[in-house]
Amino acid sequence: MKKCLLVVVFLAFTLTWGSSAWAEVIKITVDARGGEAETTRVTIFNDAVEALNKQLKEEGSDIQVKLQKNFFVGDRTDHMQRFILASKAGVAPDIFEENHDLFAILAKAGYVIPLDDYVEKYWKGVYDDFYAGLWASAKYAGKTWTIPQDSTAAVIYFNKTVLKKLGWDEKRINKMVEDVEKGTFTLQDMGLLAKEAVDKGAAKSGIYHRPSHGGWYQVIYLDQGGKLQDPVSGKLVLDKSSSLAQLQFYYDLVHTWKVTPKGMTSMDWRVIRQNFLQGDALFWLYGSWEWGGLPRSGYYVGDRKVDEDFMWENIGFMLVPAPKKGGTPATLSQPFSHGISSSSKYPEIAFRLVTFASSPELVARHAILTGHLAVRKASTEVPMYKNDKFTTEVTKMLKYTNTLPNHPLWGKYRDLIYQSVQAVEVGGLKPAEALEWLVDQMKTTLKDEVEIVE
Amino acid sequence: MWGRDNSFLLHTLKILLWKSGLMGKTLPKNQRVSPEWRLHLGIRAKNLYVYSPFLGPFFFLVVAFFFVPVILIAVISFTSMDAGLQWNFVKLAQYQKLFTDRILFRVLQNTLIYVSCTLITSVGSGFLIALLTTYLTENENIGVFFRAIWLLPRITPTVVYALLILWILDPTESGLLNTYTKALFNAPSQDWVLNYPMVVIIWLSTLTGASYAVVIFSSSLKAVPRDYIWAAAVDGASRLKIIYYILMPILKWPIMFMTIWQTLSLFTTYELIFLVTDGGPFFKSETWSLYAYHKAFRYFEFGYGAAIGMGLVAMGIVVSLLLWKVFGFKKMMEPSKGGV
Repeated sequence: MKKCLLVVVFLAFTLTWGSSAWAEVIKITVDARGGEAETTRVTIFNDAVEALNKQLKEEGSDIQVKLQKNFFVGDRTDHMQRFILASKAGVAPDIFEENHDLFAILAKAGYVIPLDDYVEKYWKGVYDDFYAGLWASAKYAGKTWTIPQDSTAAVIYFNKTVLKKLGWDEKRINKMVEDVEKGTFTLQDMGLLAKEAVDKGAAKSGIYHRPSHGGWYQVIYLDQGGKLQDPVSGKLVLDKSSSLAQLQFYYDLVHTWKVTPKGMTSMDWRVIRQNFLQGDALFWLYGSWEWGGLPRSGYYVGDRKVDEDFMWENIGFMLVPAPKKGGTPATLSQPFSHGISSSSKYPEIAFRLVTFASSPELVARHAILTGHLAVRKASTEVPMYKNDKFTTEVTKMLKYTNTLPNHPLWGKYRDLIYQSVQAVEVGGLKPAEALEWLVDQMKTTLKDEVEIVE
Repeated sequence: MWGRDNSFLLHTLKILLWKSGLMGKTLPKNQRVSPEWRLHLGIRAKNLYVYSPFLGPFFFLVVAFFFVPVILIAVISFTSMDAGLQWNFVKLAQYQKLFTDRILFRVLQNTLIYVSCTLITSVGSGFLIALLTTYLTENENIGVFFRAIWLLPRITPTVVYALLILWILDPTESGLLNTYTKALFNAPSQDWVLNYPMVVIIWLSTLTGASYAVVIFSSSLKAVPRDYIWAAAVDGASRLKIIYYILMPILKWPIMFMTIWQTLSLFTTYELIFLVTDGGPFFKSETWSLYAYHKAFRYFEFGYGAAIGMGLVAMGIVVSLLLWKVFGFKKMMEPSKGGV
C-alpha cells in the first residue's frame, strides 16, 4: 500500500513539475538602446517571451526561453561598437536593436543574418500587416536584415506660449499648421517668425535643432528635393543644389536671422529641452518621440511638472515647411529595428521572439509610451493607439515622409553633413565654401560609393 | 637543500638572502656554495636571474601592453580594417591617404600649437610654482600646502575634471565664470568653449601638466646643495641671479626630462580634449591623437586610424631627437670636468 502510494505521488510529481524540469531552458538576450524613457524597447519582450513559451509548450517542445534584457543609454556608435566587439568574441546578444541605417555595416561585416526565410515563413498574419513602405528600411543589397520595431517622424515643435506673447491665438496657431501642410507657410516664413519672436523679446532663441550627429539634418536637404541614395546602383547621392540650400538655411539661422545660438551643435540635450519647454525658444526641429519622452523625464517649468496636459496646452507640432510657396512639406522617418546576431545559437527562436514582440498590442504599447509610430496597421486599431491624439496626428504626416539610406558608408556621409553644418554655424565658412569642403570630403572619404550630382 | 646540484634559482635566492644578511652570516661547511659557483652564479644572477623574478612581471606588462600593441598597430596600418575587423592588406594606401587628407593639415597645425603652448606654460609655470613653494618660501608647511593644491587637477579623474570645467565654463548666465565676469566687469555671458576652444584645452592641460612639473622641480630644488646658494648670496647675488645662474643650470637634467616627457605626453593626450571640446567646433581643437581616435573608434576606420597613430610615433621620435640636440644631451652625458 505504502509502495503504491509512493509510486502514485512520484508519478504525479513527475508529470506536473518533472516535465518542466526536463525542459531545455535556453537564454535569449535582447539588447537595445534608447533614451531613459524608452525602456519599452526591451520590456515588451517580457510579454513576448511568455507568449513564446506558451506556444512552445503547446507545440510539445521541450524548449523554454529565459529572457535577458540589456538596455543601453548612450550614443549609437558606442552601442554598435559594443555589439561588434561582442560579436567578435562570440558573445553578442541574440537580438540587437538599433537605428535601421546601422545594419548595413553589420550586414556587410557578417554580424547579423539575413531574415528573408524567416519573414517568409512567418509572413501571414504578422509581417503582411506591416506598412509596405517600411520594408525599404529593412533591406540592404537585396536582402532583408531587420524587422522594424517602430517608426518616427521629424517634426517642428513650437511653443504656444511664445506665439501668444506675439499676440497669436489658438485659431491663428492652428492656421499656421494647416498652412505648412498646404505649402503656404515656408521655411523662410518660419525663420522670419522666429526672428520676430527674438526681436520682440518673446523668446531668447527662435529655432533649435539637434546638437549632435544625426540623420535629422537631412530633413532640410530632403525638403529641398535632394536624394540620398540611387535606387538602382545603391550608391549614396549628394545633390549639390539641395545641399547648398540646406547649408544656406543653417547659415541663415545663426548669422542672418540670428535665431539659433552659435553653439547649437555643442549644447547639452537637457538644456535644449528645458529651454524649449520654458519658452526660451520658439521652434525646435526634432523627432516625434520627444512628445512621449518629455513628460516622463522629470522636467518642470516653474512649479509645474511637464506632463501630457502641459504638452497639449503649451506645445504644438507641425511638418517641416516647404522651401518655397506651393511646395510640399517634408518629414523623415528613421525606424528602429531588430536584427538577429550571426553568433546566436537559436536564431529561429530569437526571430520568433521578435515576431511575438511585433504583436499589434505590444507594438502599440511601445509606440504610445515612447512617442513613436506603429509599424503595422493592426496596431492602429488597438484602443490605446486609436485614442492617442498625438500618434494619430503624426501618423497622418507619414504621407510626406522619407527614410534614410541603408549603406555601410552612410555613417560617414551623415557625419560629413553634420560637420558641414558646423562649418557654416561656427566654422566661419560661407555656404558655398562649406559645400566645396563637403564635396571634397565626400570624394575623399566615400570615393566611388557616392555620386555627386548638380 | 643548499647543495650544488640544486636549481639555479634556488642558488640565486640563497646568495641574495645570504648577502642581505637574512640568512645569517655563516652556514655549515657542507651547506656552503663553492667559491667557483658563487662567482659564476653571482655574475649570471647579477646580469639576469637576480633581477628577473622582480622585473619579470613588469617586463611582461610592458611587452604585452606597450610593445605588442605598437606592433599590432603598425601591422593594422597596412590594412583597410573597418567595422568588419578583417585583415585586408592594402600596402601603403593608408599612408598615401595621410598626404591627401586636407583635414589632417589643420589637425597638424592644431597639434603643434597645442603642444608648444602647453609645453611652455606647463613646464614654465611648474618651475615657477616650484621656485615659489620651495626656494622662495621659508615655511616648509606653506610650501607643502600649495604644492598639494596644485596636485589636485592631476589626481582628479579626467572625466570628473572635465565635467567640473564644463560647469565652470557653462555658456549660460549660471556658468561660474560668466557669473564672475558679469559681477566684476558687467560682461555678457560667453560660450567660452565654443569661442576659445584651443585656449580652453591649453589652459586645462597646463593645470595638469604644471602639477607634475611642480613635484619634479621641487624635489630637484631641494637636492641642490645650499652651499652654492649661500655662497652666491654672500657674494651679493640677488635671488633672481641665483635662480638664473645657479639653480637653472643645476636643474638642466630635470628641465630636459620634463620638457621631453611633457612633449611626448602632450602629443598623445586626447581624453581631456575629447571630453571638453571633442575636437570642435569644426576641427578647431582637433589634435593628431584625437583625430586618430575619431577615425578608429567613431568611424571604424581602424586601418587609417592606425596609420595616423604611426604618424604620431614618427613625430614623437623626431621631436625627441630634436630636443636632445637642443639640450645638448650628448654633452650632458659626458663626465664633468671638475667642479659642479
